Amino acid sequence: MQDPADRPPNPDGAGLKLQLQPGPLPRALASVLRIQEREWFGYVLALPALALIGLVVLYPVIQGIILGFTNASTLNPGQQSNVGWQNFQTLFADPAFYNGFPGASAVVNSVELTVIAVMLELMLGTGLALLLRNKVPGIQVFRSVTMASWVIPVVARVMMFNLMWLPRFGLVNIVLRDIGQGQLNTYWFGSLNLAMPAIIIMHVWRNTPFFAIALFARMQGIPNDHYEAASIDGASWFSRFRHITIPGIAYVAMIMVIIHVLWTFNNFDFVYLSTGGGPVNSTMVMPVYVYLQFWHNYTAGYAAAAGVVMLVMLLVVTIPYILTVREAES
Amino acid sequence: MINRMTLPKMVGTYVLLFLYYGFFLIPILWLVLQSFKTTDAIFSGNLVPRWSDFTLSSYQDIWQSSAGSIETFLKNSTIIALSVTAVSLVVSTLAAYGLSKYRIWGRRGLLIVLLTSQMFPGVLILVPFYTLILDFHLSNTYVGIILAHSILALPFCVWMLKSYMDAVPQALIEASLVDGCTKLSALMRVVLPTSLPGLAVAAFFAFIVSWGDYLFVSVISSSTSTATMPLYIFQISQSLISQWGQIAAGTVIIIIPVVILFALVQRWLVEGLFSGAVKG
Repeated sequence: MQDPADRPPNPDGAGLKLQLQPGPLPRALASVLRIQEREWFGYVLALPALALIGLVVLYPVIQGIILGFTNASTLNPGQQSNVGWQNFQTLFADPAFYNGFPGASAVVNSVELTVIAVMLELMLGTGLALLLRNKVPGIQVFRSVTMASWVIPVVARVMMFNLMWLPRFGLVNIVLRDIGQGQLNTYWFGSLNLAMPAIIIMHVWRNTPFFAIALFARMQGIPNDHYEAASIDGASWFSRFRHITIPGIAYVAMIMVIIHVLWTFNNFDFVYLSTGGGPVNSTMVMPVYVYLQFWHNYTAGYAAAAGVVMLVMLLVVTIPYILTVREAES
Repeated sequence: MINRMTLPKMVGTYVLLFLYYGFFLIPILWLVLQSFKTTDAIFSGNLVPRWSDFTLSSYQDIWQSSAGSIETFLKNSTIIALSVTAVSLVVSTLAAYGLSKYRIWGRRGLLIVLLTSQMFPGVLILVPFYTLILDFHLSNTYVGIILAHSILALPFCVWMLKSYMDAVPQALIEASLVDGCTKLSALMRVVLPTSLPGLAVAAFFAFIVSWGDYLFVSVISSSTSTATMPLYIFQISQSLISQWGQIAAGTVIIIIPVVILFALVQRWLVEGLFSGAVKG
């Protein structure tokens, strides 16, 4: 995609209006001055946003990394000393953070949640995108309500799913009872085995529509004659999907996967508001671990150290993302 | 392949669509249904309600609830979310214009910084951010919360608006400058009108980020004077144990503004969201 700002300025438009052209030297001088003036104004425009982000994102991130090597506590602010790698040693010795019982430590749970949720979202989203392409009557209605689940506030989503999973009068348990499976009645958010699937379902419920609509929009951009040509050559539905649709949507799908990996991995409130990380740490994820250490145990330095571990894990995903977007930019 | 739609294929499409949209919509419909049912009807666990099960008492009860006045929380949420929308729109419009139409040195680097800043773990920022809030005496103030939410929304809004402004031809802006527009009035009269869908989506995004946030409000706000609806809903879900009718009613109330705004921006939403995340 060509960037308009990189295009040479268009002298024709201005030149047509001026009957009296100034000489070459004054004109060159004027254009130099004008460019510099324009650059300066560009900085002024961008400054408030960059200052805010610098102050409230970059500075805290650097501070956070420094804090991770101290014993800072929110109970006595200002009194902290450097403790080297001690926080990290404690972290990796804590079974709730790392290397605990299977399914009961934050690092493993975070990775598991992110990988499973994003994979399901990609598969279900691609399926829905294919469906939305079918021009059946009323398809426009389906297309337009799709994103509704995406915009609903997290706390509302959690309450909604509470009403689905509640024992005896949650919708899922009512249906199970009515089809004669009443012995399966349980509170999903409170169950060792079902709490994590319940959280994955909430993520899938929220993000699948975004995947579907983004991929659908991209599929609409694939020229129809590609498909027609393939049909004439006798290509099957699957081979058209494999050789035309998949290459067509690959870039968009990859970007969607990367941003959803970041969003899911960083997500705090889905888990905190639904299970709080329980039962018995079975849904403990890294953001919730950090929050609990910071806000309930007051150990700011230790919490920051756990945040630093998250940051390092995120970089593995972020760097390819930035490289991809940079490539697309240029 | 799309034009030729056989009957079995049509039926298959509808069946799959109903499965998908059943999954998406049933939790919402069930929530709304529960909010209009009597407590007894909720606990009875009947799938199909009777006429006598319906009542507005959950809404009346929550309006006069002892767990704190919902009006205060609604007021706080509205003030904060509208301010965040205004602040993010102004700041991100200026920044997007500067980054889109001015060839400033380090432009690409700045864009990458913006993009990267959305990827930091919120909880890592939270720890030093809290100290910052205390240092500036912004704890338990609207300003502190508005600041935090604006920052959450900004990078995305800047990227999204920049991609819309990139599509405005440079020649159009030059022409307006020749016609005597100042640089800012060129932005107001030429660039903004052509980027309206982008502005609508940016405003919507900023609003829902602020309206739904729990994490930052929970740390900055320390009393009901600044607490917002998500805190309230979470609080009643903990304190009004098994008052599910009231909890459902409160949840419907928090969803309504979002759904109305969604209906307004729906047709531009995905393009906008997507360009905010990638196009640049």
